[in-house]
Amino acid sequence: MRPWKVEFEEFVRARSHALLRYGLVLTGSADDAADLVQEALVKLSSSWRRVRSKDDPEGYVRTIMARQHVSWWRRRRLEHLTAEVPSPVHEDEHELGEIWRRLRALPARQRTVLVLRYYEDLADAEIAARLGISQATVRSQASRALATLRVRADALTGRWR
Amino acid sequence: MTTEEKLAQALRTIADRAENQDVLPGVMAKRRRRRRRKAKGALVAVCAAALGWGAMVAWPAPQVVVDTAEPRPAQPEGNAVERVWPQAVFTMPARSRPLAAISATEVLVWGDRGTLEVYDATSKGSRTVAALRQAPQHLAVDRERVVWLADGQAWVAPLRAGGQARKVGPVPGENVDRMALAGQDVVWSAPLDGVWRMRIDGGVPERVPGSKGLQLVEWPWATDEPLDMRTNPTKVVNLQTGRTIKVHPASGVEGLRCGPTWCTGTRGDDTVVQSSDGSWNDVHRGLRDYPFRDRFFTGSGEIYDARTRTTVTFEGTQLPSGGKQWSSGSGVIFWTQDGGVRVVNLAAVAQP
Repeated sequence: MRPWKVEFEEFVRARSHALLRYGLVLTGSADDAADLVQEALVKLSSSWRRVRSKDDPEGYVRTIMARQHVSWWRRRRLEHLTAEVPSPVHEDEHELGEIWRRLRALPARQRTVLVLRYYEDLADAEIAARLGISQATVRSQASRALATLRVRADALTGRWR
Repeated sequence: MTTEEKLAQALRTIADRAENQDVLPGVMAKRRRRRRRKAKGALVAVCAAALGWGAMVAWPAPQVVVDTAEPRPAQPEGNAVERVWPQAVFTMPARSRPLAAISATEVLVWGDRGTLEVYDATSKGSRTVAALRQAPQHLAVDRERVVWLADGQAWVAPLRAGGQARKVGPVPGENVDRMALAGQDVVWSAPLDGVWRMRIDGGVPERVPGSKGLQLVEWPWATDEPLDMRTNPTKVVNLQTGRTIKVHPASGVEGLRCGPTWCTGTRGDDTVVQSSDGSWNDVHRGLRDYPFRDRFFTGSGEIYDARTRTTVTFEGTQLPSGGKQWSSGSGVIFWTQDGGVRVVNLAAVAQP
């Protein structure tokens, strides 16, 4: 049997870009995405053998990332409010910027549900399992988030860009 | 395309911008730190048990922001904001962030101790207006007072020293996203719900006559802004006089957002500035949103004054990629520079 560290490192090298992509749509910042991926991988490294034997380390990491993101966001939103947060959207991308701003304005759990449904393509039952909430909550969070996105939710005044 | 399809496409586009990086060294470093902390924690627990002390673990500090903007071509330096509008630029201490322009010399700022303050660029001093739990997301200011939304209530505080914040009354609706001060009234709007007002000295909300279906632009102007980002509005209305300006989109322009005189919209990949009546238009990369004081548009490290057709550049935070980063509030554009906050106050730009 190969040492766990070799297996783990191979997994990280093979999957880190996909995880960074997922981290970026969750957090909106390349820096937070890298932080989130590293944090989840540290947790994975501690339980590598157990998770590896079930053959789904990536699902495990993505679950940690989704849950960790919701809990970090609660701690960090005040920091972000007064910091200049770089956007992955370029200044001249009118429509994409608008969608992204509205998405970023959603509460973290609603936003995470949308990312899992429309980026990860997960069914509501899978989203419920990943976030540790009921399917009814997934449905209500998703419909509330979509309703907010359909109306203009961004402020014209006094809002950080 | 439905909202869901647009959302899925936007998420894929954003994800494609994630650059790959080697996260392994960071993971291993974190592992080593955790293991040391765990060992130390075990020791602390032993000491705590023996001596009756507790221990606190601090959360790591936020990381430095990472550059994601696209490099932009170098701008000519001749029209730098410092040269064209020197009176509008100043540097303030890094502990505050501007929220809105008040006058040629004053801006409303959010202080890091949780206070709304008035910063005077001439005296370089600030005075506290109110202490709040968190920075308001919706606010409006004039020379006398500031109003803001918190927990479904409108609040007001005078800008003069020694004033006190007080509750104005309830602002119903979850989607209120624009506010303004109109003499003795606070006015606000939510998408498709018309414009509402309430006396600052107390009263009940009432819909402003003639505002059904309109959204505030800048009081007294409101517009029938469509929910769909690509659709154009048809009119901009003065809610005091009833004067209506019909919007005439230039050929091929979508998603116009118009003040009484000027609009921005998109045509293909370009951003277009046009007059609301459609008599003039020009391509200006990166500008967007409604104009400030029916005149100034901001984007791509530039401010465009549609009234004088002047473009000025500002420095912003220079990113390693060659791009720029900045933030903005109502009539203020700002970025961190040399340990302070560099501010452009558009209220300091004279009338032509």
